[in-house]
Amino acid sequence: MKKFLILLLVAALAGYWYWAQQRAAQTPLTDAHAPKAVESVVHLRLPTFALMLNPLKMSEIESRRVATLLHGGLIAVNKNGDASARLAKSWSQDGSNWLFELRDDVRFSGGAVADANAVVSSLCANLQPSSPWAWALKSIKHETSADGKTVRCTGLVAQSATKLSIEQSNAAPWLFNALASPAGWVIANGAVEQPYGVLPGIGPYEIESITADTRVVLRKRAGGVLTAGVDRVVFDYLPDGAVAAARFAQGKLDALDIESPAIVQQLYATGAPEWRFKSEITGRTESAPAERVRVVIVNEKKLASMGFGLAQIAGFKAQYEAAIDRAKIAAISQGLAASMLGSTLLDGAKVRPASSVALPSVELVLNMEPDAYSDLLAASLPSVVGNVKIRYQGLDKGQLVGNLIKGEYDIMLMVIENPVKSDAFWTALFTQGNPFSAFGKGLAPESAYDLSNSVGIQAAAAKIDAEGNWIGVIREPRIMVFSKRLTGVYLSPSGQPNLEAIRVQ
Amino acid sequence: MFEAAKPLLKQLLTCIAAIVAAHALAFFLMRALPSAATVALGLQSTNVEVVAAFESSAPVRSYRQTVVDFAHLQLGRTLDGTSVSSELLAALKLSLPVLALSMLLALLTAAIFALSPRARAVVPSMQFFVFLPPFLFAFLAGSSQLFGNVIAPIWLTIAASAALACCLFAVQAHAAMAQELALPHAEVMRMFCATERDLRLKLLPGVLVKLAPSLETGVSLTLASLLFAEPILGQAGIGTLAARAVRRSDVDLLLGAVLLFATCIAIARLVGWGLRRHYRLPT
Repeated sequence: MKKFLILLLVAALAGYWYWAQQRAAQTPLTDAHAPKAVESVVHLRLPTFALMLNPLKMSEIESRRVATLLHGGLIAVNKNGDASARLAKSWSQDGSNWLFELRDDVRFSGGAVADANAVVSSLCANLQPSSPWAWALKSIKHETSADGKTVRCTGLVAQSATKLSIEQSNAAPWLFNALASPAGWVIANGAVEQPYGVLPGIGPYEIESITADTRVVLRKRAGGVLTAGVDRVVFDYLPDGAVAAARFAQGKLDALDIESPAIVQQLYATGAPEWRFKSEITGRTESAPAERVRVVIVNEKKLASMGFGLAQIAGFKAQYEAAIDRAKIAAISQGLAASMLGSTLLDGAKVRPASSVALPSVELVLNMEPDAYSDLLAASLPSVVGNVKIRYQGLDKGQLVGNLIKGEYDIMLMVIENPVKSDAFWTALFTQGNPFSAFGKGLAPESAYDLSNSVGIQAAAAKIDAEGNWIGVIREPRIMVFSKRLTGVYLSPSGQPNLEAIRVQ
Repeated sequence: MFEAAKPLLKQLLTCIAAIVAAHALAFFLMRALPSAATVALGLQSTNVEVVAAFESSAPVRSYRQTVVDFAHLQLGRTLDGTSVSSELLAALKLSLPVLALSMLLALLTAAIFALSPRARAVVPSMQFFVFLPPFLFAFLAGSSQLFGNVIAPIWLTIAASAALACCLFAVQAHAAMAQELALPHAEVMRMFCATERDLRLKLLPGVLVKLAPSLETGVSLTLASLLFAEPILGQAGIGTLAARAVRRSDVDLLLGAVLLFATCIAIARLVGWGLRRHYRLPT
């Protein structure tokens, strides 16, 4: 027996030693571990580990956040629409033509010089039909091949190494927003994609290491469009919001999205609008106007196949909308959300007219994301509307989007990021074949409205109110907390945080 | 010689067949998941050209090709463009100690339940816990106030992974000890042992050996718990890797993870079988 116990003890000690070695290799760098020279390290959160850093394939916001440090474009635009120079040092407009003068001192992380030819090839790659950003750049003059699979970018001309002209076929007000987004990021000519979609960029940082399911480490470099503000940026993979909040409270994380009431309770003594931290926590809270909405999307085709008539579908939407207790939902959100009336995304929209039409006796399923906050919201939505019973079911994001695209759902609680002030979003919704139109049901074509101004958007919104299949639930401002030492984070016009200019005090 | 090795060969063949079946089943179950393009591209996957470009950069192999590559020890590449085998190896390095410590914890729990007569009071609860789903303890650990504040997440991962195996081994050890104590040789030993505790200590090795048939189940329960505990508690390892593979519909990575899980269970089965043979327990 003693031998057995000694053997167990030795095995346990050996195992622990080996394991400690392995864990030490996995432990994220901290200021304490860093060399004693004045090395500044910023720790940020990576909530999911699904990195795709190639701008040509990037579609989710977490990769985009990391990539803002690696890549850049001709210009940068903040949420107010103010443009500032990056690779371009100046620009001027002549009718539908934009002329950009480029800097000659910017190099890619691979060492090559970033010149006008690289800009042309990058923008042209993103104009190809196979690029997810083609729709954002489509106002640039181009010719599509007969089979529709390639385009010739006739509006992009490199006049010299430092001069570039961009001609638009029709003036789109969001051109600069697109040039500052991943659609306009500049990639080195002929660069070969590395694992995780890593490509040489012109941002102030480059990849130092990527450890799967653990962290991504970026280090500063010379020759980028901006001077790096810190030596290293570490993205720690922290899937659980509560853990991330605990790390922030302990000073081990420099920025955090306040994304659920649980995190509010964890960090704040008083929530909105004071946002007063608990006594032991320091930092600052910043909020941007409502940048995210949650809407219930009704699958009208599915309802029709279940025996709903046209009047009953309209009646269901009206009765469901009226039954939502928005005040209760706003209350449980701990200040993270405000009521959203109407089916559209604009302020002042009205609730649909009341309806008393009799509904068929069926059971519908409300699909939503499986996180705790969505679960809380879904539990607060109506479970009975007339004769219709509604139960809810969480689905993984991929499954949710797949079902939305294939039309395999009854009703769906969906998060839409930053649509309110995005004219590109509104245009997309009214453009047949555009991905965003999967949210809706194919309304009138774009030409019916001038979506470049608020009058046109109001008209489009009124149409969605009258005919659309959306039921508004809540609007959520983007609320982020930062450690006191971190500065320089700004929001892009689409509401995404850009980290390229971060600094520590 | 061949006759002596026959039972071992039979066990090996059974294990290989189980691994191949698990691999095939996983391959075809992957069809039920949304495509990798839908997951990666989101709403952009409504664009046929974008999807075609994505799929040409990450082609999905046929089952035949997958098996042929596997025979050449090539597990393919992940959607991130990294080698599946290197990812599995890195994850295994992190999870193997967790698995080993979880099994050690389960054995210690079994020993405690075998040695302590007072443990009888909690045995019915343990019997109930064995049938709880493997994600429950991980969720409890994740939502615990201790998490992130007092107890390091890695220890909670071990506790959550070991919980079901602990319950299983505890119940079985308690029952095995009761059986041993009722046997005539225990009566004889009782005359030579000063106390009940001494008697139980003497019988403990025999009781623990009797757990050998449950080793495979214990390892399966621990691995199933690990699959939830690691991602929930934010720990890297094979559980998090498998969860990532499922969420992203990363076929090659998931097939690699299934192979790894199936191999671990097969090894546990062989070890259990070997122990039973060695101690002449019924096989």
